[in-house]
Amino acid sequence: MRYWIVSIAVLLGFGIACDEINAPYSVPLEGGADTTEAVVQRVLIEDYTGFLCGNCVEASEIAQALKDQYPDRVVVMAIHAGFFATPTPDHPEDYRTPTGEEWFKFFGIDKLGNPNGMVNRREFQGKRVLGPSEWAAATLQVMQQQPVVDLRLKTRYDKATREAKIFVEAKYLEAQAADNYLGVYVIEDSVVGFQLDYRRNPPEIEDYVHQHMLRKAVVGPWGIPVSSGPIAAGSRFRDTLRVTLDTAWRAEHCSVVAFIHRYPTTYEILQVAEAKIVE
Amino acid sequence: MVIHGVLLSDWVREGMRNAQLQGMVWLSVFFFCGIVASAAAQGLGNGALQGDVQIDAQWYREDSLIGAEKVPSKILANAYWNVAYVADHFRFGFRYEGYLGPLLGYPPQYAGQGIPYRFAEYRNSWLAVTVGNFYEQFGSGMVLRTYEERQLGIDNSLDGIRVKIFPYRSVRITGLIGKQRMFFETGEGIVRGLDLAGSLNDFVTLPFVVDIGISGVSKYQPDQIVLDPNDPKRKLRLPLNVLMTGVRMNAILGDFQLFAEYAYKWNDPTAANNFTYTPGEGLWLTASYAAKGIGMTASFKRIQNLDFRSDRNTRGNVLTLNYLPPLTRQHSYRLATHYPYATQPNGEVGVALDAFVTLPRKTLLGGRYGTEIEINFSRIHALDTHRLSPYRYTAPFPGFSDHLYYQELTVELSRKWTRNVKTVLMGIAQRYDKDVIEGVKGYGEVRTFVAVAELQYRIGRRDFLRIEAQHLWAKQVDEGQEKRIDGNWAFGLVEYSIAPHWFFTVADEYNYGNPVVAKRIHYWTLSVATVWGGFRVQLGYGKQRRGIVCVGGVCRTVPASNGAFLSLTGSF
Repeated sequence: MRYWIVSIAVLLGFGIACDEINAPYSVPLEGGADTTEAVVQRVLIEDYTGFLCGNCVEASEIAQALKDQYPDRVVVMAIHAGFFATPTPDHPEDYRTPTGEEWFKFFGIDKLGNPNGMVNRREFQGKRVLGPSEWAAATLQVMQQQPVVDLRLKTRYDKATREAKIFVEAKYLEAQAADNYLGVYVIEDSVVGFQLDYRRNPPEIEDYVHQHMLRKAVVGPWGIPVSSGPIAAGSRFRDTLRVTLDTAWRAEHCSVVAFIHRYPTTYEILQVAEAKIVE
Repeated sequence: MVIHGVLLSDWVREGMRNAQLQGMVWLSVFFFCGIVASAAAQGLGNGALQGDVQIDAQWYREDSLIGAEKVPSKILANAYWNVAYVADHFRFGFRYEGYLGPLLGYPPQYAGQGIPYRFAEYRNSWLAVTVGNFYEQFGSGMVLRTYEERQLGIDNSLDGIRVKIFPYRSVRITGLIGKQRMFFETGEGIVRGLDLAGSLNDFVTLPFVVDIGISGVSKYQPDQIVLDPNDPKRKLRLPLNVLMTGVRMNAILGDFQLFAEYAYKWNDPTAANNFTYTPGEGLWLTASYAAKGIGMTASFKRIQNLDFRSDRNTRGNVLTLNYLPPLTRQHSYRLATHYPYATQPNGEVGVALDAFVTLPRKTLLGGRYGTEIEINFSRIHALDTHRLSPYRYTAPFPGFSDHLYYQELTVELSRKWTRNVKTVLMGIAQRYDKDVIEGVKGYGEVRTFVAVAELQYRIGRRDFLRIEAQHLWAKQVDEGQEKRIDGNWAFGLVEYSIAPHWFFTVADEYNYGNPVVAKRIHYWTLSVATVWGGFRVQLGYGKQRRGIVCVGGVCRTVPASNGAFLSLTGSF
């Protein structure tokens, strides 16, 4: 009897195992490669960041690497929010937006801190807010998914009035409940400003180039309903929206990001699209 | 629509969370009641209920001058209630924890309440089996230590099965498997451990006492895609099972004692070590001599990439599996805790020497009641690392680099003058790399000197007075650094106690040397504590500076606060 139990103790512990990895330490990314299919599942990486967040540049680089790898499949939105994005007397620039702040609080990122983010706002193993090291896995997983809706965007920009017209078209491949909402946002690239990066010495970067910066929600933080009732497979929806660009933003660096998400049910983003404002 | 939407969704989210929590609470209560009932049915009704309780509440006031943030709910409270039923061979218990909401400085993920800890244990003379949550430590903890440290907000208990066997005399075999607690959930990784410990003297006759131990801990976590930091078009090949092993020895020969522990960890790329494949290594040696009136200890510690946790994505004090004992002296005087050393799990190498002498009573130096002198010295350097490839580095042995992390020399003199008067004098000189130790930038090395004088005076049969005066001189070595430290501090404390029930304390910590004149602030506190029948209640009011709290080299930052606090502790 005793020996029997001793062996149980030993066996419990001898689940002990080890995998030793030798060079090469990495392999090429597989899966999620661009297909020739017309409709692909695209991914929105929301990178919650701030110019005083010294660990955030590393996170932005992870998001950018994914976008560089899959330029047509990955959309990145950098959301400056929370303590690390709050202006100081030395750095009065304010990149925060009411929408960004609302999401930041709503999804509980304020409690976790920057850098953190979401990938299509989907839950992965019960977790919606993901650390930067988890973004790649989530992105590739989402890309494997069969899309339920195709989302296309076109823009037309009037230089004189600084007004952009946004043409949105959604075509459903699968039926959906009535909880689909369309959110439309303006982001700006190449905004030069201050940023901390703790990997550098000194960590202060005066002329950091901020990319994919969320500037404005065109139809509020959560968007507008796609339809007034359940959506049948094969349905098409079209809408035209207008937004006037702030004079501080450079139109040639601005893009429109639109996504369809399930609201206020699972908040999952079903599809995303991006288009430059000046084609 | 938006406002409506937010309210609705908040409500849905809150409702879900409450439902989950309630489910958890009720499940645990049923679990406990069921076990107690079945224990009673089996004739174990002659057991005893034991428990303890701790409630810490604070009322916060916004104070922009000291940086105390606004707390919308004004009051935050942490509460803990342990209950265990002990009968013959059985023990069952649980702990309620409530954070409504968590005190400032605690991880906000604790927000909520529930029963995150419950266990059942059977134990006889040669066997102990535990299911549910348990704490375990192998050796000094370098390979495995799960523990609860409320001051730091750490509880990384394992939730699973543990079997301990005591087959022969002092021999112990421990096998375990489980997942680790992460706030009110468990982490993804599965932890397996095995430890064998005992005394050689049980098998052979030796002129000295030798205890040895050998242990192994392995964690499993499913694969995930982590981009190669050196080439984002590639993903890392991750080890799903990571093993750490350790051997240890403690030998005692007369007044001499020698302790040695060595640990080795196979490749373990994680976010906390920047995904390096370098093996982890730890070596800790301590030799000591203790005789009447004199004692000496010399220690050496070398750590290379020894951060070990059950989830490769976490950082900070979350899901840590091991504990790296500190070399440096752990201080309790207030100003001596301004610049505490935090163990650097990714790499450090250091030495420490401690010596104490008691000058005998009724001698010229020793005085009528004796005098104690204690000296501690410690010096910790960065490891001298050399990159082998973008994925691995190596470090020679012992590997002291030129980069000094920390150095400390402490001299303490305590002397009893009369039956009623005792004094303590202490001087501490530190060199402190603030950037590395606190994970900040722009400060560089700080040099400090702390002087402490304490007077303990027994006024009457039950009245006792304690007075502390402390001063901290601190300056940056490189004045050209971008950021300024907060300069010199003075501290005074008067504590009056009426044994055994009442304690009154007034203290003031004054940052008179702050380079910013507006921040030359008095952080004063008043408190009264009373002890009755195993319960202690403390009520206080005051300001707390922003700083770091460390317990055994593991640290967390505490934000500044201003307000009243109430704490209740007790056992039954």
